[in-house]
Amino acid sequence: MSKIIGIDLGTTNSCVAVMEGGKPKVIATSDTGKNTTPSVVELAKNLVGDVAKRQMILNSENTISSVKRLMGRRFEDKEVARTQKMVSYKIVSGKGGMADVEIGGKIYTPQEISARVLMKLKKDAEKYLGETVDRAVITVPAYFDDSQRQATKQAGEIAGLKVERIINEPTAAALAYGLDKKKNEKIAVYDLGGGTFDISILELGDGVFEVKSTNGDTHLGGDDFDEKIVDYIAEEFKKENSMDLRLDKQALQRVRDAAEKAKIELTASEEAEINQPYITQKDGQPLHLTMKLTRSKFEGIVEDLIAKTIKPVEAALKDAGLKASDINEIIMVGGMTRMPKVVEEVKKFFGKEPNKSVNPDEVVAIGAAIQAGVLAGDVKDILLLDVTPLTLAIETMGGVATPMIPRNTTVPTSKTEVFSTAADNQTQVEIHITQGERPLSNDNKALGRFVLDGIPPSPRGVPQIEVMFDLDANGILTVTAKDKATGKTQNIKITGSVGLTDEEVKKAQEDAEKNKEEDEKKTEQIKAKNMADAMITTAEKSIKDAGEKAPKETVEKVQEKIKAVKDILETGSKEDLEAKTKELSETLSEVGQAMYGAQAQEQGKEEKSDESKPDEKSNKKSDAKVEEGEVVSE
Amino acid sequence: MKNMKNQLARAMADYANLQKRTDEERGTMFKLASISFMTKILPILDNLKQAQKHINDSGIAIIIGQLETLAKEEGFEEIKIKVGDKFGETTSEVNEVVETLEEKDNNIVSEVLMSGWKYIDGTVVRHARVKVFKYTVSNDTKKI
Repeated sequence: MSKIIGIDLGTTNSCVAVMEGGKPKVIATSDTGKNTTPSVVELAKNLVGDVAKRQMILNSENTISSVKRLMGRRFEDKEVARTQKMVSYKIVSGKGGMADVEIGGKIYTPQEISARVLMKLKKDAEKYLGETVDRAVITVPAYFDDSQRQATKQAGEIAGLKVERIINEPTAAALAYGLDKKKNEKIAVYDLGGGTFDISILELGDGVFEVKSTNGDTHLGGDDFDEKIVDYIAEEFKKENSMDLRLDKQALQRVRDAAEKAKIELTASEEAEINQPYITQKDGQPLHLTMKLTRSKFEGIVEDLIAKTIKPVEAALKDAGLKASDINEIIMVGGMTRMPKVVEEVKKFFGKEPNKSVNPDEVVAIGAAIQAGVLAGDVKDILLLDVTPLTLAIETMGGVATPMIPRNTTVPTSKTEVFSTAADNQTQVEIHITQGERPLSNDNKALGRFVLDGIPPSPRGVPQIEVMFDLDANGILTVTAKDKATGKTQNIKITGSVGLTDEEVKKAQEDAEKNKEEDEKKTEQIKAKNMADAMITTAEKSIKDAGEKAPKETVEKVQEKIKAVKDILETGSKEDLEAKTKELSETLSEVGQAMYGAQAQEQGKEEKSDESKPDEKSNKKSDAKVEEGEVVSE
Repeated sequence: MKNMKNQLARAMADYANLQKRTDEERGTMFKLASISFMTKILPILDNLKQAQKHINDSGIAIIIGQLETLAKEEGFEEIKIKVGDKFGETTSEVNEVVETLEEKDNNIVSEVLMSGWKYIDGTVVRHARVKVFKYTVSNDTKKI
């Protein structure tokens, strides 16, 4: 059975998505690789999207944009008259007094025009999926009446798509955020798109979304924000150079590009630089546009536009009979909601953080695809792969939880790592398995422990203990420890390491977050202690190895430093431990230096005495090499 | 058992397909990264060319040449559009319309404002910006 696609048929841009492997995927357009397609159509050459937009001003009477504003509306509708003022094509009264479009003497219904956009999206989806697509879920604004919904459905049919369902854009957005899985919530969807602003208040009960109220401004969107920045830049330039860049179309286009770039930059940074050298000429001299636009300045420029969105929000809440504090979730839709000031104002109004993690340009199409997936039964068919909700770790020296399988790893999975002993002549190791995000084992949940014994006595760090964590698809964890020298193996099976309740997972994550700083300090302390401990062992071994070769005073100095470290090993602060360990390490290198020095002196003496017998020199040298080789292999 | 076999076959097929797609995507990623970088370099090249028009310096000419060679080496090529060519929406974007009373000039490029660039496989990296003639029957009809 073919896939059902989800389509966001927008006023300015449209977007298509599909469920793939249980996840929604936005399909990029085949011609530009962008995830959205401008809802622009040229009928004579059948151009749709970016390509139609590029020739729009040359062929404005035959290029149709914003046709969604006419969908299912009567010719005498106020919105139709407003639309006629902003577009160059001719809007006429068609069959039954409905608003139609006249191009080259022929009458087209808005459905037919929209169908061209839908056809392109269908084609892009088919190209991506490699199969025919003939079914779709299409979204419409919540305020669309029956006639407008019917028209949208017809558009789909003209495009060769069976419209399985028409869903509201705010509902689709809520689906994209998975809000349908919650119970009885009141949701506000704030949608600030390219040319329109919509606010919808939804109430969710028993998996059904009810639109309580809608409001908005059909002529307020990102384009107005762009225009404001362009005006500001042009005015500033005019003040300095007494030239209006808006009168020079080429310069104006460059200002528009720069404004768009600055707008995007200012969502992430506090300041954007606008640099357009040689933007125009005055008295034969080139003029450059260079200015800095700060975020606060930009916010000041568009302040009134943002404020204009708040009134409809208040009205929508009033119509729904709710207060701002009654709203449980706020969802941001539309490219302009990326602007931090917009988010801030919405947050200020509702008193809570809005949902904005899903790409606001794609969120509606994603929701439509999810609805399509539910209708197609895709969601039931797929094998859901589980993930480990929390990190599975093993306790190592100093009580540190060393992660073996990090959280969010898809199961089944396995991981093997080799560990060693912490003390000399240690004949057994305890494998302690924990679960949680805290860096210390004690703070995490203990899943199980076992002992691997029979390790041949040897210095610390020599034995090789291979530990394997194997987590199967059912969440059963098998931990195996193997001494590589003897081949002796022990293991433990732990069930239910995946199946935690949501609360348990949440609590563990919150604990980790809450104690992050303190945990880090503790871990650092343990690391410093482990380092100090290891340095003591190294130093003691080096002195022993050096024996007579090291000068007595250096050895004494090292022993003194060893004692200094030992004295504070249990009680010293991280900084003290690090400082003393460093001192020990530096003194220890003196032992090495002294030994190399002594060896060089000896060699020097030998070479001197060899000078009288040049023939034997090479032999002697090769002998020395052999001797060194023997020492290394010992 | 049959079910398990089916599932295994499915999983293996999924993996094989994933491998193919990953290989394809690696190529696409490389291309997209190059294109993304190039689109940031192109305005600088434009500015240098603008500067050169004013100061006509031999050093700048060399730098422009170096940048153009670099672009070529990385698989980019300027789209050859000149005044007198017929406007094509696949490679160009209309920035301005110039009215003309000559019918033969309709849809003809009157000025190239910004050069267009394409990648080695034909993908348009940047559309050229052009002024285009538009035929108007007389001065008082069809104003834009």
